[in-house]
Amino acid sequence: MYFIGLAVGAVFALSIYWLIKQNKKITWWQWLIALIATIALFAAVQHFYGSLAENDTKAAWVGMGIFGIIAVILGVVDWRLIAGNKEKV
Amino acid sequence: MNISHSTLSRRDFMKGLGLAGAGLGAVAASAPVFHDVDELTSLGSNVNKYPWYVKERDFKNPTVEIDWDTLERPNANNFKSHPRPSAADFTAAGVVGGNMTDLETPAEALALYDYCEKEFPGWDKGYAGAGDIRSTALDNACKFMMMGQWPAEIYQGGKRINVRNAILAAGGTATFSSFLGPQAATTIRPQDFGAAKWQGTPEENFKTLRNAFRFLGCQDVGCAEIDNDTVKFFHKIKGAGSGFNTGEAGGKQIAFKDIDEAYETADEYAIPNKCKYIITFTARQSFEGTRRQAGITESFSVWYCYARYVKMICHMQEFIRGLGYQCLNMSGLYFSNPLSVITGLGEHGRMSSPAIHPKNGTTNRANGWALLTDLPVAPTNPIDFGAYKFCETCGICADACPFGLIQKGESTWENPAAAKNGLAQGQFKGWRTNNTDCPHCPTCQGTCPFNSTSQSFIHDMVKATTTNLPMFNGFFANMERFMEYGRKPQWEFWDIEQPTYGFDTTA
Repeated sequence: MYFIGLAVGAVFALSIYWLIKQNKKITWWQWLIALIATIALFAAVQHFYGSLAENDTKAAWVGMGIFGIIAVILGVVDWRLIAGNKEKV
Repeated sequence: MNISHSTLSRRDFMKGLGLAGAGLGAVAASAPVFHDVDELTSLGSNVNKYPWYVKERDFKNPTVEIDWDTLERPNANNFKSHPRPSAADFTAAGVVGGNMTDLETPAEALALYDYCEKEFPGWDKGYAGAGDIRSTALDNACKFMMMGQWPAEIYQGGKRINVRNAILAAGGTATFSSFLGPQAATTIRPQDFGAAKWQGTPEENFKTLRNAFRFLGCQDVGCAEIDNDTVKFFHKIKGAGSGFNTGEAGGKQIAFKDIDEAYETADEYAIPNKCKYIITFTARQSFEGTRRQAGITESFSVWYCYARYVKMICHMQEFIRGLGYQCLNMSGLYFSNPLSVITGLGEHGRMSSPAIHPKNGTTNRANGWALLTDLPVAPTNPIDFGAYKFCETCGICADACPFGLIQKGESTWENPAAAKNGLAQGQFKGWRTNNTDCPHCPTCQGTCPFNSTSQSFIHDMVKATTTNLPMFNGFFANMERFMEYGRKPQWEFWDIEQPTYGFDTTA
């Protein structure tokens, strides 16, 4: 749980910092994508360490890959979409 | 322009409202349902602290369909009923460790060597056919007084004494566990002193028993009343070698009678009709030990259960006697799977012998050990967490069986193993294992997808989905195979940090 909190917290903090710096308008569905990406990141890290604790090594890596790729793709897509938004006036 | 009001359009608002409504609907559909105040003040629907997705069903209406009219009391459990080869037979066939063999034939033992060597390249059958020396040593250590058996020759005061023979010579039996319980001189009853028996409501009694069971080391407890249907899960006669008094030939009648006190004679176990409360409990095995069994027999995880829980039954019999009531040990006198299912300790599944438990899968030893008592106990209902439906499409255990003895395909009313297991056709729509030829090898018990612990969130998510959306069962079964959950190399057991007794006792 320590690593899960650390990873998700770090990504969340960096994202908020970036958003404030960009001063962008964000639509509700961009928030939704961000939420799903965050959940996927949480799932990837939790599943990885949980499966290692269960002594299921292959499951740990496969799950990390599946949820991690979802998190990365959604995160990058959302980032580029938000980057293209107009700035707040 | 500075926006100080909501930019949400009416259309978006309605869309959001619809999504929220659908979400609430899904939660309501899968959540436990409140019926009335009586239900609230009784045991409640989750006395065993099952996960939220486990649903309760009506009494005698489990997920497995049962034809109560066709069902009949079987004569006896024919488990272990084939003739046992001698140690010399095993040696002649090339099987090492003849004394370590359990129920297998020499041909089955050799097949198991091959199976384990292929499943875990590098696995060595060791000097006794049970794997590495540490596993073999723990196997044998855990067999001490297993099934309540008095030891044969042991050291007593510096001399080798055959305790078993001494007790048999004194008119005793081969096991310390028995139908009527120890009834030790120290286990006094209130009525013998003119005091009143313990008086509690059935709900209080259930909680009392559950706390005692958990104090003694078991996890979950169930209860049902015997009626004209549920009595059919008890055998008519005791089989040879099963349950207590394993040295006996079997054949004693199991009779329900209108009597006040239970008794046992040379040819009968007499059960008072008032002892109509069936109490079942789970006997958990080490999770890692169970899925790391390899070789010719099950493992120390199994043997230690039989050593520990048989003694626990004696403690429970003495406890209930101390409350002023009778408690009868029915070990080997019933089918554990249906009693477990009827009392809500699990669901019937493909493996058929062990019921599938919502938290531990098949890592309980014969999920649902049973006692009978005249202490009124509130019933627990059958449960549904999607296991039965999952088994329809899974079949991992049947694929893993080295001897093809677990029924494959969809559930059936027909019993393809009827000629072997002696059960009549058309009694229930499920699966059967050929228990006569089944050597109780190490394999199937460790393969069940429901064995998974809940350290990764994915298991609870999958189980919750399975309960409510069975269309994903095939996908989940394939993922189970791909992710390589299930059985693991035996030798890794010794490098793993494990909880006391090998399982999470807080569950």
